[in-house]
Amino acid sequence: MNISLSDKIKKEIDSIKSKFPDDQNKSSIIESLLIIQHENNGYLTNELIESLADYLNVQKIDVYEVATFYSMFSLKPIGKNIISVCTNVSCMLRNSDQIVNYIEKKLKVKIGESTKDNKFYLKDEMECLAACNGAPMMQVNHINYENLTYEKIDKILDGIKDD
Amino acid sequence: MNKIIKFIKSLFFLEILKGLKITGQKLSKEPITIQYPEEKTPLSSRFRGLHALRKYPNGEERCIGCKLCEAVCPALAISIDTEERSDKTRRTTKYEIDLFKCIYCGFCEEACPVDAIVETGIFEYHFERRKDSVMNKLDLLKIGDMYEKEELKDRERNKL
Amino acid sequence: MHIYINDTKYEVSENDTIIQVADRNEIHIPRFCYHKRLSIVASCRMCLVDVEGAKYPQPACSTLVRDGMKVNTTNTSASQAQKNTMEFLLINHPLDCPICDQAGECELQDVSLEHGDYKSAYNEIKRTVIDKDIGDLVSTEMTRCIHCSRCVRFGEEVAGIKELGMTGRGEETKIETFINQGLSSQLSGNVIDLCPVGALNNSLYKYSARTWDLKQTSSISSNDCLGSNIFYHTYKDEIKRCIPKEDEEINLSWLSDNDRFGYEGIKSDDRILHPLIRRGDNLEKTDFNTISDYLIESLKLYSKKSCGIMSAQSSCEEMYLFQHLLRENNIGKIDHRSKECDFRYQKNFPTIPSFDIKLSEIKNLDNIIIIGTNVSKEFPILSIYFREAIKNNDTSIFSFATYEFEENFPLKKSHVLNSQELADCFNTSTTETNVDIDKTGNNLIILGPAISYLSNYSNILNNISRYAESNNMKLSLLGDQANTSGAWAMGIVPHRLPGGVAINKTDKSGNYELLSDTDDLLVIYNLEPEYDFSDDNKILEKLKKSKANIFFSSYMTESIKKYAHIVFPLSTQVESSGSYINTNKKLQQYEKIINPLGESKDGADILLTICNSFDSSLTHEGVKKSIRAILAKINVNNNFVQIANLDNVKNSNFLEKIVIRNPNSSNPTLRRCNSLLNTHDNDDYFSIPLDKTVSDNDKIILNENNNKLKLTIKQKKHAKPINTVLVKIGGTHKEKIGAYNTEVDL
Repeated sequence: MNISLSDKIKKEIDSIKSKFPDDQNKSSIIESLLIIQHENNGYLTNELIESLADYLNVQKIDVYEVATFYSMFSLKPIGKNIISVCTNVSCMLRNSDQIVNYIEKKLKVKIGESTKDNKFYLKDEMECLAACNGAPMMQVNHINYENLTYEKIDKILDGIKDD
Repeated sequence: MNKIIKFIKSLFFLEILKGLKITGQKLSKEPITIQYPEEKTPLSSRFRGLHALRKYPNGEERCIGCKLCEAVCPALAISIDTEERSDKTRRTTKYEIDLFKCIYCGFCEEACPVDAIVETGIFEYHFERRKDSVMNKLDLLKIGDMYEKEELKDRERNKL
Repeated sequence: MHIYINDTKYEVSENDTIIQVADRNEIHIPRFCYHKRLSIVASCRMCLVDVEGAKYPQPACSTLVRDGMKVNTTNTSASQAQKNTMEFLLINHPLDCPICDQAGECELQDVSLEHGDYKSAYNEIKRTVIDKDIGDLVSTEMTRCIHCSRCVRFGEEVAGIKELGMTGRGEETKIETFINQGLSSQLSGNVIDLCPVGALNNSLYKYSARTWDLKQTSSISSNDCLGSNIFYHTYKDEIKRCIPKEDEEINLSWLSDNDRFGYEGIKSDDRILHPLIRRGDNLEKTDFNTISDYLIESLKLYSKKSCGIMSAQSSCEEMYLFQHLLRENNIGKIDHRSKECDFRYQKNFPTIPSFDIKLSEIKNLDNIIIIGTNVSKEFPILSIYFREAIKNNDTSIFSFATYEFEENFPLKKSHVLNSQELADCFNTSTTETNVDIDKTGNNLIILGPAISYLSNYSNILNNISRYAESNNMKLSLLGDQANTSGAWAMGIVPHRLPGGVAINKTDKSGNYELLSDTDDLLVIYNLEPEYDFSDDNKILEKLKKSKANIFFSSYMTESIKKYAHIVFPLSTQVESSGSYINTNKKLQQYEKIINPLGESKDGADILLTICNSFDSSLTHEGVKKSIRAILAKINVNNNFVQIANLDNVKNSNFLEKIVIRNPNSSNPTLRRCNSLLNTHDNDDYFSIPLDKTVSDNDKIILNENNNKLKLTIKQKKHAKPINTVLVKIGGTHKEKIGAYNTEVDL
């Protein structure tokens, strides 16, 4: 089955395409996938991959390769709010592991899983988010929260509405 | 001088007495002769007799048709055909050993990666027809079933 | 420029890599990801060698040579690096060599023995990968994969369709297709050879033999006119598999799937195993003498009203003997063009049609016009050359065809036209043609076999020849069978003797009908009436009317069962020896690979025995010598066929039907290769123009030449070509499809 991409997405993909030479459509795969994923509640489906491949006129497997390679793409449905805790060196030295443990306990999920009510998704394999000065830090829905403490986490996560 | 000594020795039957001494010694000891069909010598746990194909405890045949025994056999006594069985595993459709060609060297046993083909302790068997010398897969599996216990015992002994 | 490898001096050129120099001079360097016909990625790190002055060992496959470079492939530094790489590669490789089909020819096994260590520091659990179903031809065992990515690069660079890809990352890396799609490329079988381990296997060969048992015999492909060089591997007189034989002039290191898997059919249940003779309603077993006598008697009895039709898949020897036998008995109506219906061109046709240029010269062409052939399906090996041309010379390729298809190389422009438009398109006398190319360049027109089935073939051929000549282009004619060039050269045409010697006949119009008129005797050689003729209705009618039907055939079909009076059991190509003339006019010998099934016999043997009954001087050696002599004499400069005063036979207002012949079922053996057909030839369809409708949705009824045809296959609609219905049916189908190209009513 082939889902056609919305005009809005197509327009954005076109602007990405224009950055690269005409015969190098493969270069626009990553950025296009990010846009599509954002529009599709944070995850990709095989149908979306297929339609992107058709739109960019590249092989489906080319897009699939990219989508499976990067941890920033998810191929299965995930929670609405994405929590990414940095666990790289600076944050690790400032006890980010305990932060992760605390969130795991609080949300009753393991890292890489979504909560049962599909509200939160605790992302794994998170690399440095370039906010080492505020370590330990996390990103919730693309917003940085720095100098985390347990109380601060409670406040942030409880503050997110059920929508 | 030598002649004289020889003469004296033969005069007093010294040679015979020497021989009789050994006889006398052995008379008092238990004989080592075995009355073959009724009695049997103990066999080594590594004795190489009649071949058998073994099975796993769950009844699945061990042989995977890798043909290494066929390849290693110096007498070209083994011939195997293989196919993909319905459960997608590699199995033999034909496994034959010509016992007239076989020299019982045990290479097949050694080459087998899954301990399927073994040489049992059976060494007393006969064929009534010429073609009986070729053991087919069913025969070999049957022997394997019959001698599995002995085989396990032999393996236990080999461990030490 | 020179370098030293292991203290020996070797001449090198500028852009060589170390591994290329080593390979040229037969110095062994272990490798997995490097392949001489694929791009270099240096990902396996197996070819690490010590380069003097470099801090670390360098990958030989990607390191360019420098003048005076000192390379050592065996010292401690190099061998330790290789040993370590090997240990890493074996971490996740299963120890299932005993059941692996690759064992014995496995590169990993060989390299491990030579360069690996006997122990590993890795004690943890090995990873497992779930197998993918990627079609009937290639079976997978993905746990064995070492991620050399040769198969991925092959798809991308050679086959032109990237079907396999490397997904995931780190330990999750897998080789797979997009959501378990099957491989569809006609070159897909080559990944089996490329895979250095046993991850991608030949499905037909799977678990049936071991590599060390196989006997290798070289042969020639019988499935297309390129004449690929192949090796058959046999075990106990059975073909186990087929692999390419390297040939720089034809198939390079590759093989099309037809050639690789095209032997499956020879074990079909349809095989004719005994000589057969008609007794009442049935064909009964008999012996060769009886049917040979029957044949000789019939030839004498009906001589003037007889017709011999032979497959162009037959060897040159069979062809020579066949025409000799018939012509000795005054039978002149001999032909191999069973699928054609327009013969007006024949007087002017080249003595031996050919590709005209060497395949290796394709890469220097500026423009290529392909007419009427889906190259990547019909001639997959040729498509590799086209891709190379595009890469090498930025060649523009144009396609003109009667139906829409995809190619595995980029087309500058593709036109879908009906037969009349196709003829008009190249008509130099009227307006300028549709082709917009630079005429000063080095250009080539390729005419595919499908065009010759059209009822206005002569018009198209004439127009294209004139167009090509006036624009200084070369014209290539591709044959539809392995030995089409041979058939023309050996005189399997009514108007020429072997060597192209014209038979003096008063008939100047060239009007000639193969199927319409009645003959008393029909000799049909290795052709199946249902599938191999331009009109199945006509040939069946003809068989019904004739007084004696003599078949030489390997396979039984319904019509043979019904109409044959005698049947000679013919062995297939792999069971006989002979020679083919390929499209480059190269005579290639092939030998018998396995013994013929049952009582079937090599066609050349059967024909020679019959010929000897009236001409005892003929021998196999004599025939071979004559063939070589004939070929040596033939001199053809170009393929242009110009015919004066040609009428237009088409009426563009009528709806015409074009049958699309499946390249994967183009000869009797291929039609019975089930795995091949399941993979590549499973899309039978009937397509009508957008503006037409069919009344009944389940079946289509076609009216043509007073015949009604019922088709119950998938329906499609197309925008182009206009006024044309397209039918595509493959394999050994039950439906009658009627004429290949004719006027119809829906």
